[in-house]
Amino acid sequence: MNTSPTPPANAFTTWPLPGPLNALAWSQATDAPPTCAIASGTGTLFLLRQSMAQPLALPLAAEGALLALVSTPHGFVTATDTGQLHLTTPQGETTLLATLPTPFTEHLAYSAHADLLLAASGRTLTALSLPHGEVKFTSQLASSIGGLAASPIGRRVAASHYNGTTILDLAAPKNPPRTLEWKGSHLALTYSVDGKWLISAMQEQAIHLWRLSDGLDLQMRGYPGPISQFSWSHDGQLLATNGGSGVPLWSFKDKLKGPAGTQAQVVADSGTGGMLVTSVAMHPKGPFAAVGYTDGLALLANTQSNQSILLKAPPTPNTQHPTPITHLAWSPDGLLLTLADESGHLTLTDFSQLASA
Amino acid sequence: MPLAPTTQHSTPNTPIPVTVLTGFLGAGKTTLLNHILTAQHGKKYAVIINEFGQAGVDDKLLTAQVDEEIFEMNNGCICCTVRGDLIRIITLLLKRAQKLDGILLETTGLANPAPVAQTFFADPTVAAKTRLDSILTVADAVHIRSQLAQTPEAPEQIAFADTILISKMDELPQAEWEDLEGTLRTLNPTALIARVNRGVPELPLEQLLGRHAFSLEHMLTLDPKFIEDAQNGHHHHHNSAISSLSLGMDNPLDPEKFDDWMANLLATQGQNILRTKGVLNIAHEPKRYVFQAVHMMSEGTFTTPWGDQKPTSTLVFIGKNLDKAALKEGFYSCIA
Repeated sequence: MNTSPTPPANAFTTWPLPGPLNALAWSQATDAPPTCAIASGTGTLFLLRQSMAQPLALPLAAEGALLALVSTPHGFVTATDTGQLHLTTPQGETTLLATLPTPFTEHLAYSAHADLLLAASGRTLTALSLPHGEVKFTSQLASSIGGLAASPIGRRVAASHYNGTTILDLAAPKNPPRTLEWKGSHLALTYSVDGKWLISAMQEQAIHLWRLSDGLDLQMRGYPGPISQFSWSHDGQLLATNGGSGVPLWSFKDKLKGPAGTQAQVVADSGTGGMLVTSVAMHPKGPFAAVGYTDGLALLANTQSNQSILLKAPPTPNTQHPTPITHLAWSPDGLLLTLADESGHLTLTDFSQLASA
Repeated sequence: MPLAPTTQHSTPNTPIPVTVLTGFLGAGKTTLLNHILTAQHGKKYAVIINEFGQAGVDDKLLTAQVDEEIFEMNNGCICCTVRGDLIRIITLLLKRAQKLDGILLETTGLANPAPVAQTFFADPTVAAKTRLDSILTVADAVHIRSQLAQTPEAPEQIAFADTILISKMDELPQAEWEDLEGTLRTLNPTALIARVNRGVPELPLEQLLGRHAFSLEHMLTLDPKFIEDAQNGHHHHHNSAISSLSLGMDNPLDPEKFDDWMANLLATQGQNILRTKGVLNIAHEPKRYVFQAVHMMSEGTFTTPWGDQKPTSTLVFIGKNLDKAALKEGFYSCIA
């Protein structure tokens, strides 16, 4: 791993926020300056724009926590541990969308094709309209939902659970769902960008792939750590995950075979010292990956040359209590990167300043 | 070695202690739980229960529901079952800013505690942020002996326990007290046995919820003499095949022989061996080697020096259908 010297410090700003910071998401609108939302375990939603001296704090749940966050064209939707869903505009106007009867809503997704918000609490899936929060339907799955993904093509939502994944047709939710079976506990879930594959992270540190045309199963094993994050490259051809000593890039260039029979290209490998990748975010415009590790180190890696630059040094090297990087998120234009660590520090990196420096 | 204090406030870096509460319906689990939650101790506990609306538990307290889902780890070992939903609920509790002093995990009357215990070793996030403190089994003094005779779950709950709290002792004739304790000791020679009176345990709560029973550093309490006494006590007939075996030896052990024997033993018989605990005298090592296993998930480490104490090895097995002669022979074959 080649690391060049640290970029100029004025491109980075760090704020200590009351944590834990459970999710980051950037606004989708392209006609306004990008805004990053940060969901905190204190129940406060923070909003951050490039020009701000510090993030705007919006207390949404006085004694609760924000467990999930999704960015939609209507604004940010958050879920509290008491089942409250709020819609917050990038400007900071908040409305209560709904209070679900099921507490501990832990997954949110948005279907652009159906313009529906999807919320998972335990084994209950709820679909709501935006911006008014009208409940369109609920569905009970056989066991607790481990991950949720809206299909990039068509009106479908996939929910992972024990022993498989269930796909519902959002246009006809009463129709019998499609069930893809594979024994074990399926957690985080993602669709390939072309909508042809569904990929789950499994409890036993493997990823499982289903080819949707025929239900073919593929299993990619050998991860040394837990997998909780997926990130697709800008061209939709490479899937990056956390959970390795480096970032494996699974190739989906072959539309039919996917990564079957191939080895993942690994970038930003930390070697054999036991350090693992805890967060990864692929750049939305080019061949770069922002990578965070268990000891608090963060790098920007070029996925073609495997050269890296340092984004953040571990806060206190060799400490007994490292603070892993928990989340990384790029603004849609790829110029701003937010980074959260386990101690609640949020860092904004401004690459427009880096480029001109 | 300075022992850690029995109570300490959780900081972001201190794993949250988890106490698993088992026992048959009617044994007094809910009464104990309510006492723990309402006593004036200034601590914040989360309770994980099997179902909401469970009679008697104050629902204003922080509670979370887990499903009964149990799944097998796909590692070819059918006893490596973990509670997937428990991982989910604990991960959710860790997303709250409010720091917890402890988590109490109540299992239903018939649940086998092994998958719950194994969950705390199997999931890296749960293992890093929480620590299994102990398994606490509540037993009804009047009914436990007939439950032991009639159901396979009751002996497992007693065998698995680190603490056995006996309720309704005042309803049992004093003449039977010794017999009751003897019965429990046969199944579990290492557990702490104490009484609980209308939900109030005779032990201070910080001691009850701070046993460090799964901490290798704290597992220095296997008293060979006390275990031997329990073993030589009178025997009781019940229909379970659960029993315990304690072995002692002064000769130092060969570490490689012990590792090979134990790895093979747990791989082939781990399904029947519920718990294993040992404090071992390893050849040419000044420190105690402490070892424990829940079924076939095991861990071991060197802890404190023997110092003035005479180095001696003690190994305790609790399990089903234990082949005691073979275990004894295997242990003796590890002599250096």
